[in-house]
Amino acid sequence: MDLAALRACLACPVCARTLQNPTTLPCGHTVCQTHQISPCPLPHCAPPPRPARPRIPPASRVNYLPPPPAPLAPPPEHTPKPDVTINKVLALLDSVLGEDSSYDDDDDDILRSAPRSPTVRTRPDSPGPSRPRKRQRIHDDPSDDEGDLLSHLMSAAARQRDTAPHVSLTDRMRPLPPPPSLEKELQTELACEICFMLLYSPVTTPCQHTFCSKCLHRALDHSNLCPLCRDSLPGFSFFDDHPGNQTLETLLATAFPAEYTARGAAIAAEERDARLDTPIFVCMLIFPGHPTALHFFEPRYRLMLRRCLEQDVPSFGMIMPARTGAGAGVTAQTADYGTMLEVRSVQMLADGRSMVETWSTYRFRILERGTLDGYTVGRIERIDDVPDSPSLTLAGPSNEELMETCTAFLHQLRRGTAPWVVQRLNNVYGAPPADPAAFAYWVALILPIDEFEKAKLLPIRSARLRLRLVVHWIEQLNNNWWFTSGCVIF
Amino acid sequence: MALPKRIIKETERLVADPAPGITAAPHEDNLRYFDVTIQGPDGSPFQQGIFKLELFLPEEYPMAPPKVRFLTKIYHPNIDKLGRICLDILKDKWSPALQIRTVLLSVQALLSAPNPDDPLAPDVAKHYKEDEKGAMGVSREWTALYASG
Repeated sequence: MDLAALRACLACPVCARTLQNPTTLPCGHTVCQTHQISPCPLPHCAPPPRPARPRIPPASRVNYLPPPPAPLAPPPEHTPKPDVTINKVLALLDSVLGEDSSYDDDDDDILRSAPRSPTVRTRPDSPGPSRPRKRQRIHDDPSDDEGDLLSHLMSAAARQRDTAPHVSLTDRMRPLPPPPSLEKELQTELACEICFMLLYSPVTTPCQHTFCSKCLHRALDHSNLCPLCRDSLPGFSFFDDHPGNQTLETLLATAFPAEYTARGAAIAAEERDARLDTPIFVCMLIFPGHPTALHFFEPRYRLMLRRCLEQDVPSFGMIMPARTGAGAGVTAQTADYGTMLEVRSVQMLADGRSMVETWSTYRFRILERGTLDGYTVGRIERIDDVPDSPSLTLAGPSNEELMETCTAFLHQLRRGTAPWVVQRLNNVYGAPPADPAAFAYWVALILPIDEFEKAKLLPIRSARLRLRLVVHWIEQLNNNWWFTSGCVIF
Repeated sequence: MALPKRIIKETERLVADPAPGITAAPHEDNLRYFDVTIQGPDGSPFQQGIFKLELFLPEEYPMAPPKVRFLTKIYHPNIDKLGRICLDILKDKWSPALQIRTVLLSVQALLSAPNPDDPLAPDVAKHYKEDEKGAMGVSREWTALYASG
């Protein structure tokens, strides 16, 4: 690890000197606090925006509507907080370079072997060594420690560092490259506080805490507060395509090039693995061939949807929640059957929720279940109809007769119902399909019977048997309903 | 499903560098389930007690908090008969930057600082509010009775 190269990563892009009280701006640039910080003081500041999440593939068939424009970054505070991670790295490098020690000014050995910019130490506007002053501020400012675990740890660590280095002569004389502990310590400072791994695609919040971009998104699915200091964050869409912390990105690529690449590969592999199984949304009974509008708000399903949307044909399975309590055993036979939903359009909302239109395509059976980050995933087997055997086709009334029974029953229902209800039913479910294979599903949608009973249609692989089950329900209803059997006096 | 790297790291650190007065060991057959012991803090009525707890990391951990429960009976206004703990960071104040170690330290701190104004065991809380000395006496008795081995 080359200290000079690390040091060069930590130069302020405005004054070219080592960062002094660095603060990271919403554009991803990190500058000394003494510079103008709103807007970014850099000429032509146009950071490459990080691709928005989710990354919609070009071949995607989904009509994806991004969230409304993110709110402008909140105006920086009067005295902005220092970038916590960069500050810690600066303190660490200082302690290794021995800059804190009062006697290193006359130590030519170290000066020669550490080719750092002399301006750092002889800056006119900072009397004496610069870093200790800053660290002093961190110690003395009680507001820094308040409720902020990281600040506390940071100041504790800084305190340790204040006393640790420059003790013995041999330490002082140690030539560069730096002690092996530096790599480990630097790795600790550059770890994400959510995944505990090396930061990947680091994003810095307005409260100056840095996380992996993916980790921050997942945290925002659950809460709008900073995981470290509980400051409220500007919201999900603000970080949707938020530029990364450029100083840290350079630093990571310089200090841990191999590890950083490996992290990227590991994350990509994780995402690939996540796609191997079919994600399953446990929510309601859906039959094939129907539109369904869904509101995604639960954190785990928000993540599931983001992962889905990165595929060309985003789809997920939908099953009913298992019935608990009485009758649980009866539904066990249908619990593993569901319907695939293809995502047709997505309207993202600013807070990370979304309104999703889907179309149900085919039925499936779950062969094996698992969980992934809180939602169900499974290995599934597609279920299609098989041709009816001649004996089945010939027995009893024909398909047309069965359909006629259903239609007659529905007509009867309509006569006894207010016209606007009929209208609504028509609007919601559309006209009856002519295809007997789909007809039973359509009738079942309208029938006022238990959803778990309706679910029995899903495993049936014969259109004719489905029709017969529906007619069976209708017969039962006809036998039981008081208002279908003559005069009623209220 | 594979165990997230973070849980592996946390477990390694818990075993290699345990927090004072706290042990946590994962079950062999379920690495998300930990057997925990917490020593009663000095100066509290739970002093010298060894309290057994169970800790479970749900599938969404660290986005969702761990589930922690006392297995040893304890007379404390914020811990009920079933061992459930009333602690904000285990509920709405959870943050993914917290971890098993910080959670257990917070539980230990709760033993030092019972909060009868936010009770989970109303009868114990009432006792603590009306007669703190007497209530602490009962806590000490229970500690000797249930948490001494």
